[in-house]
Amino acid sequence: MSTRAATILVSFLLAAHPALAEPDLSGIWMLSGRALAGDLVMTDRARAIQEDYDLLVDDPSLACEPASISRVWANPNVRIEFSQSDDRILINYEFYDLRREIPIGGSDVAEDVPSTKNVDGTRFSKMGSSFARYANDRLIIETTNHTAGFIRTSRGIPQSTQTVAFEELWLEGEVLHLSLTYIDDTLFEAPFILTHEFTRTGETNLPLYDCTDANYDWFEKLNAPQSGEFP
Amino acid sequence: MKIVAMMALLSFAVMANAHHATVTNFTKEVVTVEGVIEKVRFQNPHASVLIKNVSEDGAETYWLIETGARTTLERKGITLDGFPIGVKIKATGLKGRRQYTIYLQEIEFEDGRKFTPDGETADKQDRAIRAELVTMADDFVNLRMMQGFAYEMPLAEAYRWQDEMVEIMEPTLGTVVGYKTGGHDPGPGFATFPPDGIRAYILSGMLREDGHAIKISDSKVGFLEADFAFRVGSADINQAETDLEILAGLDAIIPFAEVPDPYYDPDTRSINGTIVANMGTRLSITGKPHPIEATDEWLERINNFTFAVLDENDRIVQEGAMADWYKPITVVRWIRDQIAASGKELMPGQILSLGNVGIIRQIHEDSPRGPAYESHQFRLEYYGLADDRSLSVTINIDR
Repeated sequence: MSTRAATILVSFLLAAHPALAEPDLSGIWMLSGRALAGDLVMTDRARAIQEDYDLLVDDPSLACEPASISRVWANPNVRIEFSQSDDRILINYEFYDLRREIPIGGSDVAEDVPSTKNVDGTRFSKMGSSFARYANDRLIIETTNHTAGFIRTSRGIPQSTQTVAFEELWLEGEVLHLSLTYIDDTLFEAPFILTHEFTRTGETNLPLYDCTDANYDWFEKLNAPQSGEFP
Repeated sequence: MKIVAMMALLSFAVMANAHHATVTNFTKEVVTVEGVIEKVRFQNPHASVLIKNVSEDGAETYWLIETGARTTLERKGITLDGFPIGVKIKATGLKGRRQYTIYLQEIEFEDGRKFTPDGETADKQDRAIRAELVTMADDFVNLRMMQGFAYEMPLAEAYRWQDEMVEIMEPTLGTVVGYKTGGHDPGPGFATFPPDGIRAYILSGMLREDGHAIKISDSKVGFLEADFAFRVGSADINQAETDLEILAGLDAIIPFAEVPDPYYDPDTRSINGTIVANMGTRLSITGKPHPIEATDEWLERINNFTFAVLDENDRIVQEGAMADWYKPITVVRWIRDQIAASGKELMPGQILSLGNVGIIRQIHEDSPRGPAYESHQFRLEYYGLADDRSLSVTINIDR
């Protein structure tokens, strides 16, 4: 199935829920438990990218940058703040101080620029451009226009410019569920699905993360042979 | 290089607490490395401690002991304040795929204390120490014997707990008005003082005016001590380099005598206990400040003045010369640098008591340190500081 066909199908399925109130996601949340990953069947291209990937060198985290939407959702022990208005969803991630502003509506409301920037105003194209809609008791966020990145940095699972991501968020009691579906027929033989759960922290402020010197260049210089010294 | 390698089961919780993918950035191999702390980084995305290991043949290797993000540690109430630069530690954790990195499981200090990033061990010990401090402070304020402080720790850590002890005492004994020090004289030193000196806080409620009459019951093991003090005149003293620059940061000599009351269980006294208990500082009697100038001539006066303690009949009890004790500006520099190591600066108006000048008299009859002082007055006079007169401070004893 092509990316386009799969996208239409997933979009249809996500909308097919009984009529219920829109979820009130406002507040600060934190990942609880571990992310679960569904079946992953990668194409030859994805496997080649994965084989080339070196976590110790290629992980965007080393530059204090998000590798993908998935990577940001999956980080433990950091707060995620939701605020909703009639025409926007704002998701503030403590991780890397990211601010993700998502318009509500059809694909025509999606903006050309990446939806995510940090508090300094730097935009991150690996997080793509998103728009959202409510499907009864669920919030659906659709994201395209990614640049190449990694859905899972620990395993080198890639994303490409053709990747489409659907984030489906809903509440069950005090638990916020997220199902994240990645579709990209250049990388995956079938949609790749990750699920997460979050609980409210009860906090009202999102502290600054202030990512600092995430790479190891300074450290590796300490043990590097001095000039003129045999390695 | 001393590295003890062991295999251990990975804790799933540990993996989940890491910012980066612990399972992929670190192996399952548990290693232990010894080294001296070079740098502490309490930051996101990784807090870490950098240590330098020196092998038996002198080869130096830096190891980065990584732990969770600052944010994560803060949520657990954990800081890395207890990791002074220069202290030797033994770090155990998962060996990193990146060379010379470890994912921290446990750090052991030379005195046996252990730190774990889960916060439980550290929190438990901290809670126990705080509870002890509250008891010690209450005992001290109410003239009950303080139990000794049994924890072994680096001096910097003991001074951190002294800070907390003083915070506990401040509501009762007032705010910090200065510092006192001891152990800078050329004598053999005290077993319960660090070899290079000790310092404590002076609180406003400890101050008494010249001529104050103490009662025997004001202390439990207190004694009369002849000291010498300065007053800080300028915050520039914190950056002063030369003796004259330091002198310029002081604006007055303060005649100073005190009644310390180190009422500890004698079987449990220790260096750390003396520090944490704020040296048993009880009463400080201050004379009239005398202005000084930042000149070579004043340095000469300060280094060479003489002094005596006299009783109510003007009989000399004991006399001496500063030249036989310590260089006052050197001691001021020591206090300044010592509190700077704790992140503090001297402030204008603060009193700096430089410690005993060799004259101590017991108050209590049963003191093991010597016979009780029988006179009714302990008048300390300094000669050669003011042009035309002696400076003095008097403690009267109300029997």
